[in-house]
Amino acid sequence: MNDNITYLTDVAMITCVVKRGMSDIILQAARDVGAITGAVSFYARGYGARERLGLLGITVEAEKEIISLLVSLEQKDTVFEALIRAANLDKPGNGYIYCTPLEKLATFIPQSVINELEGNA
Amino acid sequence: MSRQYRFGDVQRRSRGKHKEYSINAITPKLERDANGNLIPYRTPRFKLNLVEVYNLLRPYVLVRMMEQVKAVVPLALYLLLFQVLILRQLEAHYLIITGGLFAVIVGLMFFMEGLKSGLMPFGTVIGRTLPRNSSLPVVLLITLLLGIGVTFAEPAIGALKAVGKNVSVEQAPYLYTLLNAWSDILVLVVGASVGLAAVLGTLRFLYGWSLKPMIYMALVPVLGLTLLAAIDPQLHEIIGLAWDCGAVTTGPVTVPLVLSLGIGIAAAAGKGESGLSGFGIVTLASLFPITGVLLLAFYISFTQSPAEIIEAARMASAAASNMEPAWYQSSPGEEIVLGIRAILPLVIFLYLVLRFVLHEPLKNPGEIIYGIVLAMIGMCIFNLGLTYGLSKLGGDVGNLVPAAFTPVPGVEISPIYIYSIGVGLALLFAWAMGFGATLAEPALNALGETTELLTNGVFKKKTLLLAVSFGVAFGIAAGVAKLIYAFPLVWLIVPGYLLAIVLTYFSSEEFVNIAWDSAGVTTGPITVPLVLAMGLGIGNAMSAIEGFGILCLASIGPIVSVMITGLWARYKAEAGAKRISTSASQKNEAQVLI
Repeated sequence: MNDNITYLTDVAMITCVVKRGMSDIILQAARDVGAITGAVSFYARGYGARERLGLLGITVEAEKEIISLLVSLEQKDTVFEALIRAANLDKPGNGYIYCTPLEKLATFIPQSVINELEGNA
Repeated sequence: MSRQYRFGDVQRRSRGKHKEYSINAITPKLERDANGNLIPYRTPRFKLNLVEVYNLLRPYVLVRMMEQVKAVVPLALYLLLFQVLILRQLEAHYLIITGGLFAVIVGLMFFMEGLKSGLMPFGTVIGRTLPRNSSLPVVLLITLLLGIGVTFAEPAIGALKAVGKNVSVEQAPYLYTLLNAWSDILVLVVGASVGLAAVLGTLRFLYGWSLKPMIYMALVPVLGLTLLAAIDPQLHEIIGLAWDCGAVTTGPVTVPLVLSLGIGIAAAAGKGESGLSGFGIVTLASLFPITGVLLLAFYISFTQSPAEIIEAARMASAAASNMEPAWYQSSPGEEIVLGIRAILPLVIFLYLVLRFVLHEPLKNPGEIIYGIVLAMIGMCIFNLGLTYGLSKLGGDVGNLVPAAFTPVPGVEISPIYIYSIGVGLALLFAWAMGFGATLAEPALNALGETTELLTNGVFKKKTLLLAVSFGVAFGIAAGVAKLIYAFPLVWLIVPGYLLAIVLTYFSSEEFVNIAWDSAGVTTGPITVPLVLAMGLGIGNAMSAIEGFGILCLASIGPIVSVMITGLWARYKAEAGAKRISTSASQKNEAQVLI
């Protein structure tokens, strides 16, 4: 039987595309509003805004960092908003953020956490 | 009857401070031509209002400005505090110097950004495509020419020319003529040496040669010529300049451009994976110019006698005082001409290679032209800042430092302290300045990270930073001591490099690479002019003939200190390994017994 596998549901993924080197600020902001899971980040190059801004485009760094973190549906809006504010995403040239619902998530879950989950159920 | 709501839904409702729009509303409507095919859509430019432009520009400028502020301001503050607290003199021209330092900050900011967006793209494209499209001799020829070009573009090289005006022609005729009448040829020789170093360094990547024999082979002529010059009564004052040239060349233009080409060549040959492939060029580029400058000095000494030079200098100064100097010969016109002349040849050369050797189109021409213009403006502003800020500050401090222990004309209460305390303070001041300036050098941070990676964490980044900083600090202090006690530079250089050779023999290849490169990395565009000018100022106040030599001692310091630290780290690691292996063998014996 597969009863030793635990699925977690009600998960959303928040992905931030920001200037390289911003991950510390993003992660701290996420932790401050209770995003308990970790995050992964990867390096990338961005295209689009640089070309459409003409000479002003040089102010937009092409070097990007993508940070994606998994949050619960309940906290998704709180985290989303916190990250927009922390990374100044409402200012030009700072990047963007999006949020997608996920069907399920599985990983190692400590026994103490499973006990807590079963107690709630 | 109870109702259930999801907490998240409640939270979203209660916040509700955002607006939502469908992105469909701004999706472009595609048009079709007569045949029903889609017409390719052209993306229009954004129109931004002033606030939005400001929001874009502010972080862009601020980040780059702060980088330079961090490098310049602490050093300037240290010099100022030293003057006020220890020497009890306030800087006489502090307004001009503040303006000059501001110009240095702005100039370097423009220059570095221009370098990044205007010159580096050339470097990467050429480095990537040239080795694949051309034969090895062509590649090496272009590497050689590039070495010359980047040397002219190096900001610190302007400092050499700036200090040349203060050398007395009667006391050191050859030094004077090298820095004045022959100054362009001097830079050319230094450039050719850098080019040669780049060629040899590239060949080293390609064939995987060890750096050790190359260091021995480079050092034999260097030390030989130095000893030869030391014997010659007319040429011994050239030695300091020759050795300082080596430290001046390896700056923010040379290192990345030459490296990107070298690494590109190695990568094209399928040898780019070795962690050490970036090293070695910097080392050779700081050793070869010494030979080049010494050879040039010998050549001049064979063709011209000191009397001729003094006569020519007198005629030139008489002619100069007779007529008004042209606009391009006096400040600020001179700095602007120098700035443009530094960048333009390099850019034209890179463009010609791209266009006619590689037949590659230029990507983003607008951005590259912007970068080149920015680099030129930055170079001009930096040159102005060099004249009015860094060189003046360094010179003034240098003039004042000896007042701590000896009477200096123009300083009212000198000597300020009794001799021994005063000398001690002057040396301590030099030591602390070297230590602080090196710790703040951004290039050293990068080297530290590479080192930690290469040695699998045995040699920590912090260890390297400290080792190099201690080395530079002791080097600069030794250089100041040399000026105070007026003993020949040869006495310090030859034993120093002999010690370095012995250490090189015993060190592992990695540490040899790191140690010799760390010497070239430490001397950036801010420390070089400051230290040069300070040395000449001290030399002036002590009425020494020349004040060169501090920079090259600042290079030998870290070489020795890093290799000693490396040997120490290896010794400790081996001792640790021995302990583990003995305990393991004891365990094995125990198992056998059971």
